[in-house]
Amino acid sequence: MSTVSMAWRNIWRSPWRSAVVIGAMALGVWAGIFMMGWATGLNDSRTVSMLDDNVGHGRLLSGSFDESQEISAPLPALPLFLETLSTDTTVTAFAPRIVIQAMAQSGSGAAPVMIYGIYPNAEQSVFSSARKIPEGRFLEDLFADEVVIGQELAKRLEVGVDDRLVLTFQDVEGDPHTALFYVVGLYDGASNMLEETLLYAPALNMAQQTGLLDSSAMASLSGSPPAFPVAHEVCFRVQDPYAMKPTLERLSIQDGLRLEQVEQRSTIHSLETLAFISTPIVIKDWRSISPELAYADNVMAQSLLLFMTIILLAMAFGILNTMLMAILERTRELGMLMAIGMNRRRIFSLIVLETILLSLAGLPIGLLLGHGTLVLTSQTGITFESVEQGLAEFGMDATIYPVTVPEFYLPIAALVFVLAFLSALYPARKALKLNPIESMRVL
Amino acid sequence: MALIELKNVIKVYKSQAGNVTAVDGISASFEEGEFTAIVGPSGCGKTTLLNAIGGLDRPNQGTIKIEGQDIAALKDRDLIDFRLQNIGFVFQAYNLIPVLTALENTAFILELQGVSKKEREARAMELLEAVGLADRAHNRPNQLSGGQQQRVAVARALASRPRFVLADEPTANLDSRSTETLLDIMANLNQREKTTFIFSTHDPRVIDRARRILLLEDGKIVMSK
Ligand SMILES: Nc1ncnc2c1ncn2[C@@H]1O[C@H](COP(=O)(O)OP(=O)(O)OP(=O)(O)O)[C@@H](O)[C@H]1O
Ligand SMILES: [Mg+2]
Repeated sequence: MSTVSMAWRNIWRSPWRSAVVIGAMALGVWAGIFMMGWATGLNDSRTVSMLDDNVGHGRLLSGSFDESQEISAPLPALPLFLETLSTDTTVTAFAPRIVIQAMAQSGSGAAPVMIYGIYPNAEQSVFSSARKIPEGRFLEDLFADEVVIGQELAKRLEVGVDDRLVLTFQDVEGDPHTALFYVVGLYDGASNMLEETLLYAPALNMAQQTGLLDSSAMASLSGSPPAFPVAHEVCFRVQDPYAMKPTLERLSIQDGLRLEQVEQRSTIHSLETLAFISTPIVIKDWRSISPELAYADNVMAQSLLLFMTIILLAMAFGILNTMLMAILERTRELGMLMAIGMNRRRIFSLIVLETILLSLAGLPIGLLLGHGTLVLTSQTGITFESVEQGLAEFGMDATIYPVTVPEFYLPIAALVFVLAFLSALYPARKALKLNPIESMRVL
Repeated sequence: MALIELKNVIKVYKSQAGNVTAVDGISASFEEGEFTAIVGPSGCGKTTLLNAIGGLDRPNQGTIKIEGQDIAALKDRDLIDFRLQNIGFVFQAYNLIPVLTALENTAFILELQGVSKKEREARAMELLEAVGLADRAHNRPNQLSGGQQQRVAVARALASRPRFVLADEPTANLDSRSTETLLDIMANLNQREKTTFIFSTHDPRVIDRARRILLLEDGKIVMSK
């Protein structure tokens, strides 16, 4: 007859009352888990859509470009990095691009924009906004005077496919440069804000206009050109954006090795004469490219745990109350137990155990139900048609796919355990204060 | 040396209605193997006296020595342990733990004492046999009659071989047949196990069975034979 089994039997002295408490706990945990899975799913889908859309999973860039967005600081030794990326098995796609701040002007307005000078196929392999072209087409020719702009920018500047747009930007010397482009397509980005500012133009056109590639370099491209002669940064995708640490580590180790080789080989490759060999190379994952996404992840996890704590705290009060009732009903029995020689430590552990068992009994049921619900809804998704428009503003889909959140199960169990222990203290204290002979006199 | 030695024990209950001297200067001693009834009218102080002897309550004055040990000198927590190791209790009612079977109830004190499961179950079974309830070993208290419950309580009190057993009106809630049976059992165990019994009662049938009688009136011993 262990204390555990005695405690367990005591719980079932009031089967209905205990069943209600256990059921409430299961329900609370279920609701909490479901909410966690739902919110995490919502957040993940937002994160993933932002990563797909314009952030990418990782990025390589030169340190000086990273600091100042200096147009004259392209990524040195580009072919070597591209070779590294293409041989890494966890890297699924990469897209080098030129990045230029500019002012876009149409007949009816002007707006500050960011030009991505891109290599169309590569860009499309990494970013979904380069694939979603509801009107017109995406870029094809690397030299054409063409741009693809976001739907929001099109609205704002009142331009459409085949309309003209004037872009003003600085070249590598810092001189202003104005050029005329034709809008060939509108892309559908994940967020309206990005649609308004990001604009695609062909990489080599931009390289030429800004002077990133001088005329001799341009001339050499006519032969058998390297696929990607110049870029400020290389964005890449990996298999699992939530497990890209090994990839980053591999890249940084190779980075060190490569840099030495670059110095030896910089004379061989004419294109690399531009390279700022001495600048450090920066490798970023999406968390550092877009800290707000990582921040959202952390805040989300913390608020979810806080929310769960509140649910469980409410439960704990119910349990405390139930235990107080149980103690009150058993005053006479507790008095008898003390009289015959059950010491305070044993009485205390009996009551704490009862409380913990009562609290923990509902936990696996709640976890199982919650997990099951998440597994089911993660397949089917949950659609909120009425708020589709609103969600789109924040780069979210109207269908939310909850995800299972096993990483929370252990903290939840620990939380239940701690709260159960805490809610046992008061009833246990009450019990310990009982005087054996007075308790036994109670009618 | 006497097993239990009381010297000038006084217990006063203080309340707004006034002070009640429930035990008024009692001196007495109890020897090993006694089968003693404390009798007297309701309110004469039987329960108070037994509680004092059992270390459940502290007298205001006087000393109670058990095998030479002054129990007033023990701290509360040591007193609990002292009761566990030395005294068997049978109360008027509500003796048993409802969630435990007769066997588990009987073995409960032994378990608190840390006796191994095998040993305590064997001993508990032995006692249940002695009180004639071996066949109800696996029944819970609510499946037993009042008389049977009291017999289990006696079995429990004796299972740990205490120095003595205190029973406060153990038969108060029983009919005459159950009373007879319980007293037979107690007398029997008193003989067989040499267990000292001190019990209170105001039932004349019970008084007849005692080998020594202390008559109390207003907290004083008025007769001892
Ligand atoms: N907690 C208490 N507070 C105040 N007075 C008390 C208390 N307990 C007992 N008394 C009083 O002390 C006296 C002795 O009580 P006690 O219970 O010892 O009598 P008893 O002989 O056991 O009576 P009964 O045969 O009815 O059980 C009584 O007058 C009773 O009213
Ligand atoms: Mg009494």
